[in-house]
Amino acid sequence: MLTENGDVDAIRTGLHAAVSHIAAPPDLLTQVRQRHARHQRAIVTSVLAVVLFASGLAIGSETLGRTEVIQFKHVDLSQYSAKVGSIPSNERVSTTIVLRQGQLTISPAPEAESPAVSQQSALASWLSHGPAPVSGGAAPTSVLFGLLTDKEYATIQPNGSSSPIYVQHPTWIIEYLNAEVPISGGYVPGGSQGRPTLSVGPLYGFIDAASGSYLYAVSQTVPVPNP
Amino acid sequence: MTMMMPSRLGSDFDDFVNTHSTNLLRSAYLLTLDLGHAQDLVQITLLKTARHWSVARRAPEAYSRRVLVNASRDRWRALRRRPQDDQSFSAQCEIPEPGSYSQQVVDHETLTQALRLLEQSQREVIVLRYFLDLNVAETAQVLRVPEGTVKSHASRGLERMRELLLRESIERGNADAH
Repeated sequence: MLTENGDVDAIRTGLHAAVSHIAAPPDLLTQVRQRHARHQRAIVTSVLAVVLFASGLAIGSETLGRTEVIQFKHVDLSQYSAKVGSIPSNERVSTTIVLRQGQLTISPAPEAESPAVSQQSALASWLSHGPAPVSGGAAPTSVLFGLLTDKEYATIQPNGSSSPIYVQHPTWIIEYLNAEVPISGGYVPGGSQGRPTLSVGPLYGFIDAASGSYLYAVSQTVPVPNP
Repeated sequence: MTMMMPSRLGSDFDDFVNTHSTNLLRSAYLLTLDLGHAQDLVQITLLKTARHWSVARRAPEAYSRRVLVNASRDRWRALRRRPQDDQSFSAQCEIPEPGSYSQQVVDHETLTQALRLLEQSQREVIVLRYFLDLNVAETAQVLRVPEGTVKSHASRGLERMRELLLRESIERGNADAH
């Protein structure tokens, strides 16, 4: 290939020839766009979690706001179980709850799996994170022990892939089936004129069943037109 | 309340990928000499470029080249921390037996093996200077080293490649003579 004096052109030509058979796969752009979209969703999810943590309110898909309703003081914690360890079936999730088009699931925990903190402590932890984002009644619909899996709440690896933080994570789920979340401020499509001031829908708060610490909350509340 | 919203990728990003991904992949291959790693590096490079597209779109080629080199260095460092890969690397460094491949394959294979025997910094300079045809200043900018370093790496890298390729050429000639 080279003479004793070898020249740069020969190496340049050789380099090009050595890789001339290599071509980018035709679906590379699609792959990159899909991975980029997953990354962006993970960012949004993380930001939402931070926002929820900071404000303790539920967020509908198109609304952001801060509740001024403080009702949780009416919750009677003594009505909730203080039992730790082997808890009865009525404190456990019995059927799988699917949210966000399957990206988030709350599934029943095996009988052998038990929380290290009680139902009562979990609810107290939830309530300690700010105003319960519901009006017209503070008590949650249920406080149940289950396994949390959230494919969208993820950390991004150096190579660009994402790995979910919560997979079958033992969790206390604070459930409000018809949470009424007041809306004030934030972006609403169509401008602020006559915009809804209330959204309604399911709201879930998650408390780590091992430590009792607040994890995050999600909701699927929908703005309700003003009367 | 302010939220960080995803950056939008327009058709200019698609155009960039469609136009330059093959060249990026070839560069990555020459830097790593492993097609699987090269493909991974290109995906990483394009993803990072996409994430910073608002900045990268001003000079996407230069931006992606720098990302690619950095990703390649990360991989290099990771491999060096793994003893089993050091062994496989040594094994790969053997020049193939002359005559075991067709002439063209030997040429390509020999050249990539010669590249493999260069120091990583020399290989980077050789690839940027003589495959991507960057000038000394551009190469220095991508590698974030002084221009003098680029020149010395290029000089030593070329000299080393000449030695290796000449040795292979002589060995091949001897084999043909027999």
